[in-house]
Amino acid sequence: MVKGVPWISVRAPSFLLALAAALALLAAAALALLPSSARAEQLTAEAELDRQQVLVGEPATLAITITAEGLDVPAIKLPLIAGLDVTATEQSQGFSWMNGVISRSVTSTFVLRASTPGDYVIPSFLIRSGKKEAKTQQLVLHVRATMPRSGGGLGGGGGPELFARLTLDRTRAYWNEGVTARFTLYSRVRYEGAPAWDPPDAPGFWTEVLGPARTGRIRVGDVEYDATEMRVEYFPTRTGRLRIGPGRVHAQVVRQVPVPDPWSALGMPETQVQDIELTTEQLAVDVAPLPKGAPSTFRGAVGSYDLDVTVDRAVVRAREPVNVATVLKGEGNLAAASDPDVSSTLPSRRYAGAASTGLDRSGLRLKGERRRETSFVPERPGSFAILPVRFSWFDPEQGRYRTQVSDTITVRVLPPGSGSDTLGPAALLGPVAPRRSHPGAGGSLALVPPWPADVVAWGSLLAYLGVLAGLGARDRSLRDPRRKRERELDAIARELARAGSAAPTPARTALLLRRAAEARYVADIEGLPVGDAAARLTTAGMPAEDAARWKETLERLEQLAYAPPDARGAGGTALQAAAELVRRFREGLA
Amino acid sequence: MRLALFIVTATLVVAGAADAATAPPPRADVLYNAGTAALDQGDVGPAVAFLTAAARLEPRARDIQINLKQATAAAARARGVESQDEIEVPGEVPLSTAEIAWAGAILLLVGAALGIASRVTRLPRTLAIAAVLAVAVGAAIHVWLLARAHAEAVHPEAVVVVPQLAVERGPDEPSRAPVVLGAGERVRLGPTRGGQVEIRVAGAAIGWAPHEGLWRVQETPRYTARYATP
Repeated sequence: MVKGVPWISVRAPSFLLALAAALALLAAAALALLPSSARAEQLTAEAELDRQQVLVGEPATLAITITAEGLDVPAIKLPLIAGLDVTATEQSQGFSWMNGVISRSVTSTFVLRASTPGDYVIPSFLIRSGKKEAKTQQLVLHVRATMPRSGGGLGGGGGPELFARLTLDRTRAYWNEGVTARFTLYSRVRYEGAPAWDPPDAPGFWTEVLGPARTGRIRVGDVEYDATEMRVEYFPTRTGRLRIGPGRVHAQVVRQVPVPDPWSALGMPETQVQDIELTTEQLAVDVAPLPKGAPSTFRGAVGSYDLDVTVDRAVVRAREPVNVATVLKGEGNLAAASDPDVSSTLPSRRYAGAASTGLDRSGLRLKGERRRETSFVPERPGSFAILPVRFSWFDPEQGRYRTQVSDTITVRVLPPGSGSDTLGPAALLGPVAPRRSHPGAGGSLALVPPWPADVVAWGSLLAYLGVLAGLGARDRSLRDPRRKRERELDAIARELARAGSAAPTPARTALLLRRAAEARYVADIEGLPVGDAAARLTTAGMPAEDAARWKETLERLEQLAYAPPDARGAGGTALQAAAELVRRFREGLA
Repeated sequence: MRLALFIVTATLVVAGAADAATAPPPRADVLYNAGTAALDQGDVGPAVAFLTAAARLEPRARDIQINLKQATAAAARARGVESQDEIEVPGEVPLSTAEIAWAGAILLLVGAALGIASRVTRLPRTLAIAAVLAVAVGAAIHVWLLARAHAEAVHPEAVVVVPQLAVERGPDEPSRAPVVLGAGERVRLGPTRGGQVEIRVAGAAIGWAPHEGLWRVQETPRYTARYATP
């Protein structure tokens, strides 16, 4: 029986406490190792199609941009869209660090193709980063089956041989928001030279052509075409319904003509060049005015911008210039964006340089950089500050005005000097401690603990944990009831095996035999008559043969216990039988 | 996790022992004097670097603390920080790595001895609890030291030593405005690529900069000859 044996040692809580404390400390250390910026504070997600309408088999590009303040930018998994073949193409990453806030963005692009016409809904889907969530907006891709025939195309079996199309990436835009138009010539016939596009009519727009025409092969339905595409970005300069197009393209098509005389020119087919002009359809764009509530620093910039303000030096001598550069980068009509004002706290000579604008027309949108330098020439030593530079623009994607403000930049002005390379002694807050003449401490700068300390520390911890583990295993063994019964049977067997004067008396042997049966079959037979005890043991699982033998041996031993001393010599058989029974019990327990 | 920690610990211990065996250990007085000389000459970047290294060896030395504060303040002013309140001197633990390590080791040794004794003999309950706490605190100290040494090995601390250091975008990263760091600013370094090294601030990479403009705090003893006191 296990009564009286505590199942949980009184020392076990301290071991558990130590283990829990060590685990908690390890977890805390692991958490401390995580970069602090891994906790995203703000999460946004945007989805954008490069065109809203395509033909069957024609690709459209879907760009999904996720921006997270912090570094934990979640992965983008596009949900399945019935009827659309989706292929992931590329992923690009962006990074910004502004006013101590780190922001990262990941843009994944997917090519979408439809095999049947219809309107395909790209559902909004949820992006999660920690406890933050963001949803993309729902988009619709219109897939058309028919190809333009009236005016824009030249006939042919299985679809037109030659046609021109105009597509817009959006049909609603804000004032001065870019609208990208694609004028595309599709051809299945050979033509000489490069097709020439006339500048498309677009009254009310500022026009920027995005690079040279691009050529490539494209499958429309079951037909493969050579495509020549010209991209133009239009920036509306007034509101209302404005029209773009029609675009006109001139090409010299090479056609084979029937040979009038089969014997002429050795029967070779003749070709002739035919000048053709194709026109696209005309599309309308609804231009909305910018919403009210523009900040005072807003001067008409619409798009996505980033302002950077740099000073070429933070310490300068009097009457030397400090150049402050404002750099506007981003997507939009940079040529129409006004430069922000730069001012300082000190009455100083100020010279504003000319702005330089660099445009990148290689992408789907016009982007670039506009830089302007302003020079300040302080007259007197001291310090002055370049006041915060504010730049406001309207962000059409978010539908709101945004303002970026730079930090105040303080410039120290030293007295006019001889023009040496160094700026001389640093400006100090107080006296500097003198140099030392006595030796100081030595050691490692690598922040690695000395190895003897490591050996002592980790050795002590291992020894402690080892001792705890060993003692715990021993305690568990001691508390195991089966092991306890085995040990009790072993002790009885050892006592019965004693010889000579140390050998147990018959009465003692009878008592040991009772205890052995109790230990083996976990039955309480103390004080019971032999017959009742044998019956209880049989109930507890003792085989009938063993029970009978046990009863017989016990009766003989009890008789011997009360026999005269000279009659006990014949009890050797009973003692052997008792030892044999105990041995069987022990084997049965094992 | 445990295996990784063990490997990192073993590597750091072996590396530390190997360093100690091959090179004479840097001395705080040499670094301090070089930092003070740099401060006198107005080279606040090198001054911050030398004095930061000296403070690693003698973190409670008053002269090192005074001059490090002066150098940090001068560097901040050179960057245009005018207000005294905006000048931040990074707080450090007033114990050297060796002192912290030995304190943790002694706590662990005493705690383990008392803990084992409490298991085999009868000890007062308060003593047994104190033993567990000592083991826990000692282990925490050494885990923290391990994490700090690992961070220093992977992303070593460095100081900007040129008046202005433009941290540009990497070659495969999108265009953005450069971040300009001033002399004396303390950053952490990432991998190197050509002549460029990745700059990390607050656990995040902010761009790449030429490594000539930075001194690793660990390597400052290499530059003390430039500011040697006659």
